[in-house]
Amino acid sequence: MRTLALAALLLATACGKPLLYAEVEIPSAVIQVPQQTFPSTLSPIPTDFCTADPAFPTDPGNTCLQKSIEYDLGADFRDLVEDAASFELRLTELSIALSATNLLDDFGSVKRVRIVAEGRDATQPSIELARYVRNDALPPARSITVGTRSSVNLGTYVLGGFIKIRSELEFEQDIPEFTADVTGDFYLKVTVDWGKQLGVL
Amino acid sequence: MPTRLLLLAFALAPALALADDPPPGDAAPPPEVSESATRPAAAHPERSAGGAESMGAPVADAPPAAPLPESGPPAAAASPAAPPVEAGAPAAAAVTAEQLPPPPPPPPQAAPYPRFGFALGAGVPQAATLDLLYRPFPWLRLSAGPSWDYVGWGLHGGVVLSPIRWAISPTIGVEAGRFFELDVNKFAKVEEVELQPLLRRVQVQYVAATLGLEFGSQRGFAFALRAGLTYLQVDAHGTGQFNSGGDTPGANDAVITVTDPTFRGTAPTVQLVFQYFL
Repeated sequence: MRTLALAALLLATACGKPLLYAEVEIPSAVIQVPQQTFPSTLSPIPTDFCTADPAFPTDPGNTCLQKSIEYDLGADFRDLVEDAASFELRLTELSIALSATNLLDDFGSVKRVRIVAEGRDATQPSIELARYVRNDALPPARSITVGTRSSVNLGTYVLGGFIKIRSELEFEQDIPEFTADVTGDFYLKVTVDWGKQLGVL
Repeated sequence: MPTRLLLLAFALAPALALADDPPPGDAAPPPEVSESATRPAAAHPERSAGGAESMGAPVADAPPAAPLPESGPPAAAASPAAPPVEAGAPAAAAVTAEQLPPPPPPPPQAAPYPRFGFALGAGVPQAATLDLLYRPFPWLRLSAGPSWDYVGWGLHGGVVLSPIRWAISPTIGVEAGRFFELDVNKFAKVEEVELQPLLRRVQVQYVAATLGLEFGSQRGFAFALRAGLTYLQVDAHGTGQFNSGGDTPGANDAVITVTDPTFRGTAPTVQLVFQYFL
């Protein structure tokens, strides 16, 4: 009996999993945060401006403004995440869509967009997930959709069940304040070692 | 002390009687045959077959006769009713030859195990199961059949090894099963209407490894208790939607749309099975 239990334990370990575990995998969890207000280029406050970054320089005469969205992974899910043996979160796509009623008709004045996952604290650097550059051959659109680097595991960027995603938009012309629905498509995998939690193993 | 041993023997007797395999060397011995009962016919067969002509001739010249087994029942040879063989009486000798004992039956062996049977079981995650059992070897048992867990139907199959078959038989087994397209809304009342589509087509698959004990006869009725570890995978096909605010409404009014989530994990498994071999 003892040998069999040991064999099972070794087998499970060989698979890279705890002997008693529970795992939830969600290939697509689309989190839509509606009606987010983006600042105007006419009256920005200092925190609205993008942080100077040589990797994402702003063209002379253009204005770069930023907007951070905090994605709540859910109250119940937060408990799961905090007890997780391993946690995998990847952002596969992010889109910014103008709300129906707006002073801004389209995103024609947006030249570039950069999507960044913010670090949990000052010690963790932010990481760029995607970049969008306007295609002048296409007519101005009411939404911007950016496919992101889904290879980046954002698990370490989650704090208390929240992850903060920052969008940096470079405008060629002045624009008024506008509202948009910001939608992130996440891949999620959470593994809980419940045997360890129960003190069984 | 001898009294206690005697009582112990009486107490163990019924359990031993249930045993399906007699222990080695415990088979009933062939009936013992006394030398005096067999020797007259077996040692000098020519005397019966050859009659008076063989009298006085060397034994080596006599035609070979089939030797009689030593374990043959003595009744015919040693029967007091059989007329004594007398030299010079051919008719009497022929009658005696006809009365030679038949070949003895082979030593008693355990009857072969029944090959087919069925079983009813209940367990987690197997739910309620009905199995057709097939036993190609005494120590190997294959099973397959339908499963039902109130929400829907499935199929399962398994292999059980039973190296020792006794009144209480230890087993080791592996089983796999699958439930098809379960509508979990029938079982779990989810208040959020947007989540219900996610629970409408749920598939459950599992593989379980168990150790068990079977109580009863391996040739007839027995019940088994099995326990072990199971790997479970639950796939929900579809899309469900809920508000991430949860208990904190208006936190950021996010709407979460989940598509095709999968749950995997390991957990203990327990099963009770009643089986009957035909």
